[in-house]
Amino acid sequence: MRRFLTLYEAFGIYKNKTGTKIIVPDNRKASLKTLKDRIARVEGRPLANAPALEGSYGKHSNDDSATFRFGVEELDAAFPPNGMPLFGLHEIRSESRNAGLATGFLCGLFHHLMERKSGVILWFLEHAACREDGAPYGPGLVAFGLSSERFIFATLAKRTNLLWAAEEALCVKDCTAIVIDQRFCEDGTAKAGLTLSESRRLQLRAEKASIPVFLCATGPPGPPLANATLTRFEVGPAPSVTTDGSDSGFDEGLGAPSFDIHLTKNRFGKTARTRLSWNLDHKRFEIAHEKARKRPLGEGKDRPSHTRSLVSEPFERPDHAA
Amino acid sequence: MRLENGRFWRKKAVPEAPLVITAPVKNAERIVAVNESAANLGIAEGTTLADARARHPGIRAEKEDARADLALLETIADWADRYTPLVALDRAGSTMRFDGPKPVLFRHGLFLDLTGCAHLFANACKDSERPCDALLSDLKARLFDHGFEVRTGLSGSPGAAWALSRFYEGPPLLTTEDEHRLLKTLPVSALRLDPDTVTMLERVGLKTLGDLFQMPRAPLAHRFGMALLERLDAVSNGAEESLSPRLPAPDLMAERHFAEPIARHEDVERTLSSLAETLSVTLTEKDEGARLLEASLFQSDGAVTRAHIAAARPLRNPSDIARLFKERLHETLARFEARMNEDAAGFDLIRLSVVEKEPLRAVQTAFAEDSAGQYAMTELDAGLAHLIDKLNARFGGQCAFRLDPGDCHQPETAEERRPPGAPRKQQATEWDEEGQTTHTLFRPIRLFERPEAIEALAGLPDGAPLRFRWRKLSYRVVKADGPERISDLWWQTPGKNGLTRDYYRVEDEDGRRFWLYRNGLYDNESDVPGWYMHGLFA
Repeated sequence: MRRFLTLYEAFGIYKNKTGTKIIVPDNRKASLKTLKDRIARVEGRPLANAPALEGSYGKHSNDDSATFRFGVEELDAAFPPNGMPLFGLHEIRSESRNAGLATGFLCGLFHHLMERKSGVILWFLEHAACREDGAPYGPGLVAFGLSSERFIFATLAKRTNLLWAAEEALCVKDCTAIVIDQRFCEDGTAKAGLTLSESRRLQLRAEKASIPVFLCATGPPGPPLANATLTRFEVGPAPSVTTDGSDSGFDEGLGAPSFDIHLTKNRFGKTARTRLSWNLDHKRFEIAHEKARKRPLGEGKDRPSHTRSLVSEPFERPDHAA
Repeated sequence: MRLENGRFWRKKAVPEAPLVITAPVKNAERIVAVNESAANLGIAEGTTLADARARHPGIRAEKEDARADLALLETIADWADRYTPLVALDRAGSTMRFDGPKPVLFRHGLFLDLTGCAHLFANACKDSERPCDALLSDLKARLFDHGFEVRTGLSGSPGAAWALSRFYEGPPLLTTEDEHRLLKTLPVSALRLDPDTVTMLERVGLKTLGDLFQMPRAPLAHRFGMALLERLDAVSNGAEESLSPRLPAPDLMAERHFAEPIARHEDVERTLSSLAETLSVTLTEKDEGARLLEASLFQSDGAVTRAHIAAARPLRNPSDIARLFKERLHETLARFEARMNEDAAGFDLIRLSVVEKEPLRAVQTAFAEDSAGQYAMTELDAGLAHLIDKLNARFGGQCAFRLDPGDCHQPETAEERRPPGAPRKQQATEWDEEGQTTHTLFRPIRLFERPEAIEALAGLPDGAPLRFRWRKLSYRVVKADGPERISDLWWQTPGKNGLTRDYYRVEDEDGRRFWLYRNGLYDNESDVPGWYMHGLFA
C-alpha cells in the first residue's frame, strides 16, 4: 500500500477514479521513474511519463494562447507548469439546472482565449440543450466581458449533426474554440455524452488542429461514460462572493459569480476540487473565500431586515430624493 | 377522380360517365362545370342541380373544391416556369361572367410574359411560324398530353391576350391590324368586366368592342366608370398593365433541357455544376457574386422541385456552388432515386438561377499573411464562410447565427439572431456592460426561449421570492436583487396594456443563481401574478 501511494504520486496520469489503467512497473523501473519525475517537477519540466500528449503539449507549451493558468494554486498544481493545455477535447459537465454555471466557467476560459487569438468561437447547440438549459444570451455574454460579435452559433437537431459540424469546424483556420453544447441521458438509458470512439476521433483531430473543443454536457447527475477527453470538469454551484471576500447577505444582493469546480479527470496530472469566483473587474478567476454563511431567510427573526424599501425603485441607483 | 382512377387519370382515356361539378351560386346548388359526355346530354352550366337531375337521373355530381382547383392551377404555373420566369395567376378571372362556348374553361387562367423568351424556340419552329407560336404549340401539346384542355391567346398586352384566348380560336394573328380587326368583333364580356357592367352595356346596345371603340370616351366614363376605359385601353392601345409574377424573377439563370429525362443524382449534380460554370462567367464579367441561388428541377410529369442555397458571402466559384447544392439536394435526390423504380418521372429540365447577388471584387491572392488586424465580422474569413454555408445547406435555413443587439428593451428581443455574414445594424442600441460597475452580473448567461412557470412564495406581496419550486424541485432563496421593472411594449398594442414584469436575481442555498420575474403588478394589473423562470446566471 505504501508503495502504491508513491506510484500514485509519481504517475499522476494513471490514477483517478474513472481513469483507465494503472500500470505497476517492476520495482527498479518504478523507483527510477519516481526520481526522474521528482527532478522534472523541481526543474519545472513536463513529466517524463506523460505519454501520447507530451509531443503536442511540448509543441505548445511556450505558446501563451495554448495554455491557461487559472491563477489558483489548487487547480494549477494539477496541471503541468505552463498550465492547462487549451487544445484537444475537454469535457465540462453539469446538471441541467447548473448549466449557467458551466457556461460561466467556460466563458472564463473564452476570455483568456479571445484576448490572445483573433478568430471566432463556434458554438454548436443541440436543440434539446437549448430547450432544457436555455440558449446563450448575448447581453449576458457582454456583461461577462466578452464580445458577442466573435461568437457564431448554430442550432442542430441531432447529436451526430453536432459531431459532424464540430469536425468540419476543426478545418477552419480562423477558429478560436469550438463548443459542443449537448444533453445526455434524455430517457435515462441513452449513452452519456460521446462514446469512446467518437470522442477519441474528435480528440485526435482537435489536437492536430490545435483548437480546443469544449464538450459542454448537461443532464442528470450520474457516472460519466468513459471517453477520450483530456480533462473533465464537473461544475457545481457555489455561493456568490462580494469583492471583499465576505459572503453577501440577502440585502446586499448577489456578488461575483462563483463555481464549484471538480476536476475529475485529468490526463496531465492530478484531480482537484476547488471553488472559483470570476472577478469581473480584473477578468480573472480567483479562489472563492470559504466564508459562505448559509443563512436561510427568517432564521432567528420574523423576516429579513430590509434596509431598502421593498416598493420598486430604480434598480441600483441612489435615491436622491431620500 | 384521382382516388378512383389512379395518379395519372387525366392522361388515360377513361370511359367517361356524365359528371357535373356543382357549387352554391345565387341561393341554389348550380352546375358550374360539366364534362364532355354531360355536355352531350345537353346539360348547361348555370342550371340547378335539381333541374339537371330531373332530366337525367343518372348523372354524377361532385361539389366544387375551389382550393384544390387553385392548387392545381399553381402546379401548372410552376410547370409553366419552364417557358418564362414571369408567370402570373389570373385571379380576377374566377369572378367574371362569360358568354363563350365553354365558360368553365375560362375561369382559370395564367399569364405568361414571353418577352425575350421566345427566341429559344427558334430552332423548333417551321418556316411560316414565329418562334412564339412554336413556343405556344409546344406548351399546348405538353398540356394536352397531361390531359388538360388549353386555350391560348398571344398579344402585345395582357388584356388583348386575355380576350383572344377566351374568344378566338384560329390561326395565329400575324399583324397588329389583324388583331385589331378581330378585337372589334368580340363581345363586351371580353373586357374582363364585372357581370353587372356587362349587362348594362348590353342593355344600351353596346354589344361588341367595335361599338365601344366608336363611342366618345367622356360619356362612357361618366356612365360606366373609369374601370371600363382602363380595360378598353388595355385591349386596344396596349396600355401598360402590370402582372404580378408568382415568383420573383431571378437576376440570372442558366438551364438545360433534356430530350430523355434524367434521374441519377450524379447526372443532376454534373448538370448543376456545368450550369454553375455558365453563370460564373457572367458573374465574373459583372464583378458580382450570388448570395441566393435556386435550382429548379422540372420533372417530366409536371412536378417541380426547387432548392435554395443562401451563401454567407457572395459566391461565384462553380465548384463551391456545385458542392453546396450537392449537400442540399443529397437527400432529395436519394429519395427520388428510390422512387424511380415505381412511377416517378425523370427530370427533363434543370435550371440554376441567381435570385440575389452582390458586388464581389476579384481579390488578388496575398503573398504573405496580413498581420493580425482588427477582426471585422462583416468580412468573413473564407474558410469560416464556407463552413457557415455548409451548415446552412445541410441543416437548412438559417441554422448558423450571430447574436446582435436588437432594437427593443425586452429581454427576449434585446438580442437578435442574424446571419453571421450580415452587416451590423447601425441604429441598434448597444448592450451595456453594467456588470462592470456593480461587481455582479446584470444579465443571465443562458436565457430560456420560453419563460417557465414556477410556484413562488414571496415575503411581501410585491417583494422578492423566499422560496420557489421549479421543475419539481424546491429552492430556498438566500440572496436576492431587484426588482428591475421591465414594462411591456405598450406602444405596439395601444389600448391594451400588457403586464409589467418585475425581475429578481436570486441565489439559492447552494449558490445557483436564477433570473425570475413576477408577471404583472399587484392591484392595477393582476390579482394573482404568476412567477416565471427566465434565465440562469453564471
